[in-house]
Amino acid sequence: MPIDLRMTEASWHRLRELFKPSFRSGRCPETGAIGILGECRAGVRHEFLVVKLFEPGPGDLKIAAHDHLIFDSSYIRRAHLEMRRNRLAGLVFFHTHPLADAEVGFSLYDNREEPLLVENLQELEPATRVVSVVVGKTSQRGRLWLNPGSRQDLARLIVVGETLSYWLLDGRPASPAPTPAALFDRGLALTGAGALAVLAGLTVAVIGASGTGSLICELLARAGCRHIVLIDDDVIKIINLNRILYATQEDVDKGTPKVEVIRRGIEGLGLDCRVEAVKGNVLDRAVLARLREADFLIGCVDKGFPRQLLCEFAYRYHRPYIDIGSEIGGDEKGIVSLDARTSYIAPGRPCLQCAGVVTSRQLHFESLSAPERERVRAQGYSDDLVMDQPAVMDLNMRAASNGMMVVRHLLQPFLLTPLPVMILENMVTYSVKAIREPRALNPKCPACQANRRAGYGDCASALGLDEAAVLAITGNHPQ
Amino acid sequence: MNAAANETAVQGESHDQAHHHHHVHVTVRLLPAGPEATFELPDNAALLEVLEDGAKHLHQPLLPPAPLKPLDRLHDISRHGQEGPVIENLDQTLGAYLKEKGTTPHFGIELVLALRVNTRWAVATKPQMTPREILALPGINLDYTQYTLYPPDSDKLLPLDTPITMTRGMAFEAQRDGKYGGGQ
Amino acid sequence: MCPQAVKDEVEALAQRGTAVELVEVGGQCYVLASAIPAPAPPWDRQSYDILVAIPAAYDAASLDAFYLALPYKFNNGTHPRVQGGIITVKERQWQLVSWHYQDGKPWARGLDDLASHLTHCKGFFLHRGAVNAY
Repeated sequence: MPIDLRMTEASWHRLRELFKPSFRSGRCPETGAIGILGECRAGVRHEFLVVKLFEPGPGDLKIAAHDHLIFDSSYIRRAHLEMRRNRLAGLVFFHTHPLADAEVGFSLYDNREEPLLVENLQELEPATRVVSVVVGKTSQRGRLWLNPGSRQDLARLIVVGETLSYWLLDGRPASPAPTPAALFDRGLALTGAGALAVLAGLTVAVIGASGTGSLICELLARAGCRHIVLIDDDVIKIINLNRILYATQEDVDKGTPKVEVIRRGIEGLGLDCRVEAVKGNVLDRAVLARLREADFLIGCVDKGFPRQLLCEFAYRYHRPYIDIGSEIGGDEKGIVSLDARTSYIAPGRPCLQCAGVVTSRQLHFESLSAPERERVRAQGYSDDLVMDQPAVMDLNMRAASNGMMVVRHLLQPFLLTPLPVMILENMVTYSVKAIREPRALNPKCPACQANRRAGYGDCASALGLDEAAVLAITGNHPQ
Repeated sequence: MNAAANETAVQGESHDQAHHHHHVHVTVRLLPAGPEATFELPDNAALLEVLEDGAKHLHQPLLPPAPLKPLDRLHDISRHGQEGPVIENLDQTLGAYLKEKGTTPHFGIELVLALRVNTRWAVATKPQMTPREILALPGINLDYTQYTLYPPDSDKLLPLDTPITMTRGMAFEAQRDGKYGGGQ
Repeated sequence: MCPQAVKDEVEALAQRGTAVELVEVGGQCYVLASAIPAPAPPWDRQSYDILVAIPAAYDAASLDAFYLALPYKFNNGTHPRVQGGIITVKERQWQLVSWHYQDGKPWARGLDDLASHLTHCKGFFLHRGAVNAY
């Protein structure tokens, strides 16, 4: 099973800055840094996530010469203690080889010394995994130590932030990036060259299989995506026929699950795109856990609570999350707005609450048990929260299309960066607005500003609700 | 009682004809002048068991704890009640030991200044030791140029040559430097 | 059923001597807060027990309103804000009170919590609540 290392763009950029002195001209010193790791194991996916980097301070690098480097014990100790206190998975040691030109690999000295360090760390805490990455001028190589006598090469370094990038950890230089125009080449879209070849190797989780969800699946498949995990707990009803792709009257009669309808339709295209149809509610812990198999998430839901959970998941597992939605606004005079919204959530970016898309009041209302919610609704105080979402394919298409543009941009940037907090397209005023500032930024937001479990992955308690709690909220709890 | 049993009979011994084991009443005292306990063991029990059971009866945990072999010591006690030397071979059976000249079923347990560094155990050689000396102890055996000693769960290093008062069961954590080298 | 965040807060409040406990009924989590002080008159006694519904998304979700233990008397009659549904919890009846955060001072995530919400609920029994009764 391949093992990857995943980190935020901010951490990767800090590392690159730190390593610059190693790669100037002349005899440059080796340097390095230590990080603490979370972990994610799901299906065939096994990743270590960099939770935090400890940049070296004075005295932390006992020796930093052109041909060798010593991390002082106190530096290692600080990181290891924090790993132990927070019950994390392990440590990662980054170090540079300034003399490595094109390819880079671990030296005989590294191979001799590192097992002794692993032995020491595991003596102190047997659960410590040690990941090691050596960085050269144009390449990097990584490995995982299970114990002092057993190691495994790492496959990729995945960097998540304004974009989603993949770096091989095999010690060889990366292939040149394709031209942005290749992103839209009609032929390449299917043959999968360049960035779209990356898409072909990714698993995309789509949460919500209604109008927007069905459209985004179609767009993904036609862009070259080969594996979609599609989640929804609903079945096709007569009112869905106006907008869910591939839904038929027969599906209404049979009560076919929405995910099955879309799976059937997408797989029937012959584009070699496999859709795993997960009939379930993403609030459910067991269903939410399936998202760990995905490289990124696309949310096509119409409620605040699942959006909130998807944000928390994105920060916990260092996953990019694109949220799309549409809204029709009106007053006594008629329609004033037809908004297609695309939001992008990733480490270092604000959550949907801070963006103003989800409110804590909305979350309150949605996450009460069904009977409790009815009592609150009867008071009349929450009338503004009970909104029917728009249900027209043409508006959903605009949201899905913008979402897909963000997907393409993540793989190879072509939009203006940084991406805005929200992209709002209002058909009534013919405008596309980039909302750059979060509308309700909370500097203490435990999701995006002060998240103590960011990058923890499986090392913190599972997100989501147990089955009974989901049933209570959806109105099926046995009284 | 038959003649063979008579020959081997010592004070407090009973004979189990069904299993052909003699049971021996042993007394164990906490040295130098602590409480005493008396209990029975079969004569095919190893002396290690005398030490372990004796400590249990005296409510004194041995160090290191099981399943590791204890560093605490078993002494013989002479017929005149004098503390004898350490019994080195704890694998021998009680019966075989008692057959040797001058031995008795009375023993003394000496609780040593056992200390731990990571998962390694050793005996302090004096009441105050420096980290340099601790790292060099047999059983610890860590190079002071590559390891630094800390209190458990603390990042405050213990200066190499500053003496520390030893207490029984004291624990330390030794952290190694991380050594890498591209040119080597 | 009860979110971990509220479990932690109830434990902390209980350790500080606040009479709070968690109750789960019919798939809904509540905090039962005992002996909330009330001026008598206009209330018929000097303290009341209240129930606060804790949504599953807490503490991302806000808290709002509360249930008042029945029976009660306010100025020898009823209080107009005590007008919501009635539930039975722990063999007692409780009625939903329309007591909400005002637009100018909404719930602030990261600042407000169970303790601040209980303080907000206490305001209902005091002069502000009585004045706003009619």
